Amino acid sequence: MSRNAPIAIPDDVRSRLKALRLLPRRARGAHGIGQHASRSRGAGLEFAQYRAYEPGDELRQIDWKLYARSDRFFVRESERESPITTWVLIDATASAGQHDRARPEWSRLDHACATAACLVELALQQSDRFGVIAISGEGVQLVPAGHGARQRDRVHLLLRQLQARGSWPPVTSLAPIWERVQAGDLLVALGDGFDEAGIVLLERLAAARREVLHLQLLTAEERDFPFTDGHRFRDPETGEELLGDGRAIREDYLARFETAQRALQARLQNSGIVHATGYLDQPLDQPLRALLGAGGGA
Amino acid sequence: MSLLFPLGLLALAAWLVPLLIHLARRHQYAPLDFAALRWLRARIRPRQRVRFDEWPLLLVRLLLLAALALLLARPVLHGGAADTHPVTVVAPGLDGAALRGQNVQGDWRWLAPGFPTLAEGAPAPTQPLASLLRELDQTLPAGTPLTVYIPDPMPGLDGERPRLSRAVTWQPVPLAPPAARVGTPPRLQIGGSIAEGEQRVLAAIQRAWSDQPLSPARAADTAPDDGQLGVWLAAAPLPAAWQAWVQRGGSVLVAPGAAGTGWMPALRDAHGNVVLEHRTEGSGRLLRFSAALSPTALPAVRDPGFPRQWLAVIAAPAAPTLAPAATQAPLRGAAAPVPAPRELAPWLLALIVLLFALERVMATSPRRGAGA
Repeated sequence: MSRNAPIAIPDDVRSRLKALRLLPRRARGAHGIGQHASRSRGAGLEFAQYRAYEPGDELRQIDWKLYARSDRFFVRESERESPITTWVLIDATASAGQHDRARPEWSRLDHACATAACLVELALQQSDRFGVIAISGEGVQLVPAGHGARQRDRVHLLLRQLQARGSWPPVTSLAPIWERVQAGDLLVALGDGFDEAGIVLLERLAAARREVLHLQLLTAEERDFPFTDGHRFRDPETGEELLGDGRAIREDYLARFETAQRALQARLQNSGIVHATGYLDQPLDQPLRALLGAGGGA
Repeated sequence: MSLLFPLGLLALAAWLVPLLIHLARRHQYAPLDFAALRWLRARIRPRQRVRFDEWPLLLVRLLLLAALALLLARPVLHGGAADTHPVTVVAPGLDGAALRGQNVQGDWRWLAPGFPTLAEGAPAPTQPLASLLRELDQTLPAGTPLTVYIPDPMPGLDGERPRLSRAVTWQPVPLAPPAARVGTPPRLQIGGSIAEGEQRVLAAIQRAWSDQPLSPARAADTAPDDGQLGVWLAAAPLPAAWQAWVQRGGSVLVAPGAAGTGWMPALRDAHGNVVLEHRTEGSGRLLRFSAALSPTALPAVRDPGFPRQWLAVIAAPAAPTLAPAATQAPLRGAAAPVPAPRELAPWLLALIVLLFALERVMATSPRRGAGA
């Protein structure tokens, strides 16, 4: 994807996006009026509770029928539908620059940015606040949470500037995430899930009452290992190289990779992180449906 | 199919070059980004299988080299359909155009070296017709009908009646032979002094040969003419002029007991005694009798057949050169001609050009760079 072209969401994906909802299980809207259940009480459709009248309450909030039965003033309260804050966390380390040989112009980072654009569209549909965090070797780049179409443009501006480089930064440089992502916010992490430090970060975020979803993006080659010749495989982050014959090491790799994937899933599940896996040769919304369909039931 | 130069196949050693080229390239892979490297086990490859990149291109290159090596080895193809159209040959000297008449379709040739077509004009008769017939028989593929127009009487015979591998339509055409040369017996030319008795004997022999008297004796510095038989029976050695004449090819009768080595018996009498000896001298030869040329010293002189016998020694009768053509019709039974193998070089060259073009197209195709 060209760095200058806007992040275009294919039309078919865009139409299918309309059926998706960013529904958190735990996260609650805090302020304002939105689509999510919130802890703030007020005027609304969903009955929450009766409470005793206190001086200062509006008279029209008093439930007069109840007064007639009980001879006491009760105020009827409803739950307010409030917006939530959605964060998209993009792993932009060097491994995100990997691409399939069949489609060399479409890297994992391109796929992640397009997925992030889809998530932003979803948040925009729901009038949620949204922000973007990109983690690369240089540290953290982020767009503070906001709402509206202009916020989307700011997000796209950041996404278009992203470049895959470096390895996972040290924990100290991740402080902006903890400052920005509040408890109760929804955070969707996009990345390959190969960085141990990245998984640890998600676990800690989830433990700190952030609703974390993890969308693992894998290339088709990582899934199928279609190499038949000798290749020099290189880890883009460590620079480590390995000379191997594709046919000879395929089966072993697939078995070990499958095991590692299962371990990762189990680990994320233990931490209450919803996990889904998408591949670069799939439509953008396919893993989102798995992710949000499973996690957005609340 | 066989190879005329099987050593040419050694050129197949050149196969090593493309094989090495295609083998070496696999180690030049650019590093391939693979983030899931930690799940790749760096185990020693079980067996370094010999594998080649771009095997279609390699195949074409190997084929090209194989064709080149085959070209060097000069393959020939045996068998195959031979061209067995009827052939008619006309001996030189006959009127080929008249014999051919209106038949312009057939393959008419001269019975001459190289077997030129009739249109190329009558060649001069240089080789025996019998020999040419054998050559033609071995040149034409087996089964080709052959018609031969031959003059009657037939010249150009050699030691054996032609024996061919096929039946021949034998067409003698009456043709008057060229005027026969009349062989003239040599004349004796006496030089130097000679005994009266010997001169008488020589005169008698000369008269027996050609019914002519002896020509007068010549001086020592005057060599005999060509066609004469010199006689130098004087005691003096052969003079320089005569020796030079002998060196040029003349024949001289010298006195008995003449010096020199290498005398060979040329004539024996009824009892087996050597009467006449000869030895070569330059291009000519010297003759000597075993005794003085007189009836008493050399009894063979008294034999009436002596002049004829001597004549046979110095001038052998000419072999017959003509025979009735009907009696010289070729015999059957010669070995069938060996079919001429066909050279495959033109086809190989065409194949090589095609393969080379294919190789260039494949090697320079734009798709190649992307695939590698």
